[in-house]
Amino acid sequence: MRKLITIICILFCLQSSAQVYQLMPQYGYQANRMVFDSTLQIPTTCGVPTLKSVQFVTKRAAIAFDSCNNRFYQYNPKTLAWSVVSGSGGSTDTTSLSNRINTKIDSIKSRNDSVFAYKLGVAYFQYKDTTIGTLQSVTNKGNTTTNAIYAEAVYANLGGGAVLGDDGVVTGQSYRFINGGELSQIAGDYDYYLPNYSDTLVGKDYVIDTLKRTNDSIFAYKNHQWVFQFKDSVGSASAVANDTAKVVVAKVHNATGTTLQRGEVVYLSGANGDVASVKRANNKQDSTSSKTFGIVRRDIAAGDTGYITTQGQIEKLNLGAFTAGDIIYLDSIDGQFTKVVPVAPYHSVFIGIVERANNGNGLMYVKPQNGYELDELHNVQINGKLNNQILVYSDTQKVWKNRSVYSVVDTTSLSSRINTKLNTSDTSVFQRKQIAANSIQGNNTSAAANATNIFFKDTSGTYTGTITWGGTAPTSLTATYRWVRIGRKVDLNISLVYTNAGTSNTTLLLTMPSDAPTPAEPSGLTSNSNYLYPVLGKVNINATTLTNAAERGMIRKNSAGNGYEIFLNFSSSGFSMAYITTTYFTN
Amino acid sequence: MKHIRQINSINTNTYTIVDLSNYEGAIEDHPIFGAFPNMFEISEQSLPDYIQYVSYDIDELNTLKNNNQ
Repeated sequence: MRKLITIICILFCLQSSAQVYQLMPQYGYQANRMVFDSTLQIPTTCGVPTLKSVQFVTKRAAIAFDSCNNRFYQYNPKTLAWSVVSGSGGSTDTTSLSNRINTKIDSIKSRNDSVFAYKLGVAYFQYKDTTIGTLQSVTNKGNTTTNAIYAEAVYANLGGGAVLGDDGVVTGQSYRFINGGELSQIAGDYDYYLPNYSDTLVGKDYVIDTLKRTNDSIFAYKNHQWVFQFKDSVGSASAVANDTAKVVVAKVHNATGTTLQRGEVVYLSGANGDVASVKRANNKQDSTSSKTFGIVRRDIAAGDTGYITTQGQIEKLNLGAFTAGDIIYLDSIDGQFTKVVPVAPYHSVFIGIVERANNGNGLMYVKPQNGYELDELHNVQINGKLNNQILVYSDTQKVWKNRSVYSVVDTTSLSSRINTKLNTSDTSVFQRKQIAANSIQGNNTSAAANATNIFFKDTSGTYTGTITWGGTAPTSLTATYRWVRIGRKVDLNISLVYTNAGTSNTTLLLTMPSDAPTPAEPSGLTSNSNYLYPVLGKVNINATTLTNAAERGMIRKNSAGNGYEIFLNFSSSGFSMAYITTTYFTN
Repeated sequence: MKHIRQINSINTNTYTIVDLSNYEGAIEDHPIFGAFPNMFEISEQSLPDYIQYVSYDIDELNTLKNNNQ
C-alpha cells in the first residue's frame, strides 16, 4: 500500500511538469516531472507488461495495468519479476492460497518418527515425534482433540512398510488415526473398527495389505485373502452394531513354556500384560476343561501374545482323520480334540464341528461349550458330599441337595408298612433271617394263612441196627440207610450188601435205624407185634441177579412192645442182598 | 457169655450168633447143629460190639435136621 501511495505521489509531481503526449518511442518516455489531475493515468498493456529499458529493469520498480485481463502488475527490481497485485485493500487471498497449497500437496508419508507432507517429491511439512518414536506426541494440529491428526484424506501404503497408529478408524468420509485413543468419537454415519494393534507394529503379522469398504462392510485383505470383515448388520446410516461378525477372535498371552501351535485347544488360565493367559486344555479335570476358550489361530511363541478363535470358522487345520460333520470334543491329551464322546470321569466339552475334512486345509466351526459339573448347576446345592449319598429336591429351597439315604427315607412309614404285612406277633412263625432247625415254611391249611414250620430232615449213614436172618446169615456186610421226613411222612430206605451169601434164608428182621422217626401206630394197631405199614423188600442172591423170592414185608411193633422193626419173609434161598423201602408216618 | 456162633462170620463185621431167646433146652442140644452141620459152634468168648443174629423156626430146624440124618 505504501508503494502504491508513493507511486501515486510521484505521478502527481510528474503531472505538474508534464510534456505534450506523444506515442511512446521504442525506448519509452522519461519525464522529470509528472502532472496528474484527479486521477493518475498510466499506460496499459495486454498481458504481462514488458520493461523497455534495461537500465530501468535493474534499478527501478514499475507498475502497469493489464487491460485485457483486468490485472494490476508490480515490478520488483530485486527479483526482476512482475507480480500481480490482487485483493481489495491489499489483503491476502487466503482461500485461493489454501486451495493452491492443497492442490500441490501430493501425499503424506510416515518415516521413522515423523509424518511428512510431500509436494512434487519434496517434504513440505513434518510432524515429528520427539519423545518415543511414535506419533503420539503430535498434538492438536488444527483440531481440539489431543493426540490426533485430521485430514480430508490420508493414504497409508501399508504393504510398503508404513504402519498405522495403534488404533485406526475409518469413517465414511475420512480416515482418522489415533494413537492410544478410544475409537468411539467417529464422525460420519458409519463406524468401522479395525483390529487394535497395540503391540509392536513393525512385524509383518500385524500389517494389513489393503482395506476395502463396501456398502455395509469393511474388509481387511492380507496375504492374498480377506482375513477380516466388519459388517454393519443393518446396512443403514443409523446402524452401528457389528453383530454379524463371522469370526470372534481374542488376543491372549501364551502362559505355557512352549509354542502354542495352530489348531491347539486352549483354556483361560489367568492374565498377563492386560490380556488373558491361556494354556493347553484337556478333559481330565475341571481346572483344564471348564474354562475352554477356543482354538489357536496361528502359532504363538512361549510368553508371546497371539489370537484365539473363540467362535466361528478356523481353517488350515489338520483334519484328515475326520469326516465333515463330525462333532468335535476336547480330548484327554493336552491341546488336542477328538470325535469320541468323552465319558465320565472325563469332562465332556463340545468344541465345534468339522466343516471340511482335510489335512492342512481342514475347516472347523468353533463354538466351545463347556460342560457343567453336577454341583455347578444353578439349581443344585452340594455341601460336603459323602459316599452313597443321593440327590433330592427341596421344594422349600427350590434346589436339589445331596442327602444321605437314611435321612430321606420315611423310616416310620416304612416300618409301619412292614408291620402291616408282617406284624411283630408273626415273628414266631416267620423268622426274618432264620427258621427253625429241620423245618421248612408252608401253609398246611385250606385257606390263606401265615406260614408255619413244617418238619424237614434228610439224613443218611451206616446202618447199625440189629439184623436177624432166618437160616444161616450172609456175612461181611456193607449196610447203609437214608430217610427223609417232610412233615409227618417218612420215607426210609435200607440196603444190605454182603460178601458171602447165607443159606436157607427165609426171613430177615431189622430194627429201625436208631435215628429214624418213631412210626405212628394207626388206630387199632397198637398191640405188640402188630403190623403197621407195608414194606417194599427185595432179596437177591447177588448184586446182578433178580431173584424170584416172593417177598413180603411190614413195619411192626416188636413183641416186647418197646420198639419197631421191619420184617420180611421170602422163599428159602441163600441171599447176599437185601433192599428195603418203606413209607410211614410219625407222630 | 456162652453162645452159638456162625463159624464163617468169625472175624467179619457180621459176627453172627443164634438167637436163643426162645430156646429153653441145653445149648449143646440145639437143633441148629443138626439142621446146618459144620456151620455153627459153641463159643464162650465175649461178644463184639456189633453182632448179627440168626433166628429159627423150631419146626423148620427139626425138619432140616431130620432130612440131614
